[in-house]
Amino acid sequence: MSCSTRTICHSEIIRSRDNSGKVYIAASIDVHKGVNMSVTISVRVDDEVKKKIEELGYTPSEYIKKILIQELKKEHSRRAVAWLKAHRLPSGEKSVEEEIREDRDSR
Amino acid sequence: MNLVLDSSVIAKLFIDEKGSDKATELLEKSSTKDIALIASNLAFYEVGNTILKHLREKDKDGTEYMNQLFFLNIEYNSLDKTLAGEAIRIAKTNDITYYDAVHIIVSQRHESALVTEDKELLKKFKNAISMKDALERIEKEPKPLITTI
Repeated sequence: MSCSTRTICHSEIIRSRDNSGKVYIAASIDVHKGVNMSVTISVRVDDEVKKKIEELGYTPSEYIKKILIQELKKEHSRRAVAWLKAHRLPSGEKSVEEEIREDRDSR
Repeated sequence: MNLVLDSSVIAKLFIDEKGSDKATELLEKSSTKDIALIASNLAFYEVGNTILKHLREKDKDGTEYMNQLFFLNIEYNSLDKTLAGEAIRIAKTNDITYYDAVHIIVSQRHESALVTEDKELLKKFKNAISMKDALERIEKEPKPLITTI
């Protein structure tokens, strides 16, 4: 099947349970291919969670989108900070603030 | 709360020297308190140049370090015509370089403190604070009421 921007090219369903077995989350993901590829993710949550999101004044879809983007950024950042902590470069004779000061003054 | 980071703070994440642990702590604690970290995109050039000076043979070409700079949870701001004009005015008035003024103007635009380890900026600008002071401010911030699911 050829894919246009509005065509669902691929679908998958993800199901999971947390450790307590109480919360059941199912996500179905539809992938739309095109110039700006995007996917639709639907998430099954307890009704109580949906109500809490709406009480905050969000629609569930905009809230989930916001949280997904935020959490992805945070996770990338956490990993970058951890990587840098383990791979720091050796210091020189001068501190970085002295080096940057010299660069700024000499440019 | 927002905090604007000077290149002297971001660069400390990459180099093992005095203040590196504080810079790491600042990034980690900002994340748990939902504090937005902002920097001028001039930081890409200044931090990139600092990384370049410290690269060793075994660090290969340094691309992995530059990748991490993009992954950090920092919102990088570019200049527009208004900010560029304000920056040159601040540079002239305060007898600082245009590069310094760019970081100052980004902090003013966001009505935020500029976190820096640069002595000149700390001396000349009231809104410039050290990493130590920034960490104290972060400590005082309440934890976000809404925690992510």
